[in-house]
Amino acid sequence: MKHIKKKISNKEIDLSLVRRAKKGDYRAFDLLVLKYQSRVIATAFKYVKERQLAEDVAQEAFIKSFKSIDSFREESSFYTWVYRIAVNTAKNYLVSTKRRDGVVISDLSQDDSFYPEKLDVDSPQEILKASELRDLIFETLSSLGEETRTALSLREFDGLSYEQIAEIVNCPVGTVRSRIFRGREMIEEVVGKHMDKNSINQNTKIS
Amino acid sequence: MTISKGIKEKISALSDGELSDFETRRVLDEININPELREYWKKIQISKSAFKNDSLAFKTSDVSSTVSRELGGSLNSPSILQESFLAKQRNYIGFAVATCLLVLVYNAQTFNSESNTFPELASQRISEAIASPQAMEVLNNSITGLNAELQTLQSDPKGSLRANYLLPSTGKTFNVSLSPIDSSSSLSAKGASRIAYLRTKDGVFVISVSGNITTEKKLEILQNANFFANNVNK
Repeated sequence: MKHIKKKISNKEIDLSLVRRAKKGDYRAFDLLVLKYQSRVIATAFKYVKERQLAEDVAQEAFIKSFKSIDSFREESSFYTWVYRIAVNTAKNYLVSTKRRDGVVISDLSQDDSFYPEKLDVDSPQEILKASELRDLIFETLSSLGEETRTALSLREFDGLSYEQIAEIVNCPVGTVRSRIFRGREMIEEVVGKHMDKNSINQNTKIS
Repeated sequence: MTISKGIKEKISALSDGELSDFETRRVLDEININPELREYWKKIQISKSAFKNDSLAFKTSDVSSTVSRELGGSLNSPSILQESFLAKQRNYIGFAVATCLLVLVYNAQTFNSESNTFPELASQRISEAIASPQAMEVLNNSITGLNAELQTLQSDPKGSLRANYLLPSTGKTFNVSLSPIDSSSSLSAKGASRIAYLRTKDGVFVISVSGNITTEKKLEILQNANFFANNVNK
């Protein structure tokens, strides 16, 4: 009987990069930083309530995690591990600066609510920009051709492996890989334009 | 820099955990050379966050370059995006010590009959053999990720160094040689199948790979050597 690769969890996706990082491959770790930095900053922000401080905490958390990556036993996901380091770093920061008053530390689970931006940012403009981008990404997904959209949706929403998707849509694994890539190309274009526009706006404000 | 669709497709597959270890390594090399590919990876992650309903609020924040700088700086790495961290530093020190011992033995055997005293000759040979620490580092880094074990080191009077390695997983052996440019002719005559060049402040060196391993592995070693050589040359 043919063995079909099962669903791929985020933990498994990160594993090859984590193992390379353990061997001292910083480039692999760099991709993990790029992947998780905004989530780690958002986590830190819940504690320290200032964007710059949150970035500092996230930065320190990533540095600590790389320096101690040998101690990461791969029982949890990489993100969960970094998340814990970030939370501890933020708490230590608050203790050291005696800024605990007014900070909610009761429930800071990874599972953000339906409108995650509202929890994480300090300005209405940021919320607007983030939800604008989210809408654009979903609009682009809807506008994709059926085959591309199906492949990308099965991957992103259902977490299916390329092999499972190939079985479902009855085509070779290579075709699935190409379709997912094509879909991402379209979305990447939209994300790129949105980011460029916002950076132009930011620069205009500064000047 | 133009980005090929092929490499972007591989990055897309990497983001889904659908890339082999070998391909992952190649993609990391490419990303390292081309910053636009890093941006592509970042954009994929943004869309993935959107699909998972994760926050997009801090998408414009980027601490990655600071993290790289901090880690690179603390480890005395010439480039923030290269693989020369603690484990590699240990290898390098081991490699250098082994080289010194080898050269000492070599000189003890070769120059006993000559008029100069052994300590003088040994000292001269050691300084010649490891005249370029940068070249030595490139040679050492060239086997990154192969899990190869250093078996022996050989040296010749022209200052060439040859590191002989074993791949324990397959039992295959290969060697990586480093020679000053003036002795490269004798090296190529010995049948080295792949060659890369390294220009340092101490002169031009030839790096060659030969042995009982696949062409892909040889290319990988040279790609590593080129990568580290480029960083040395910056």
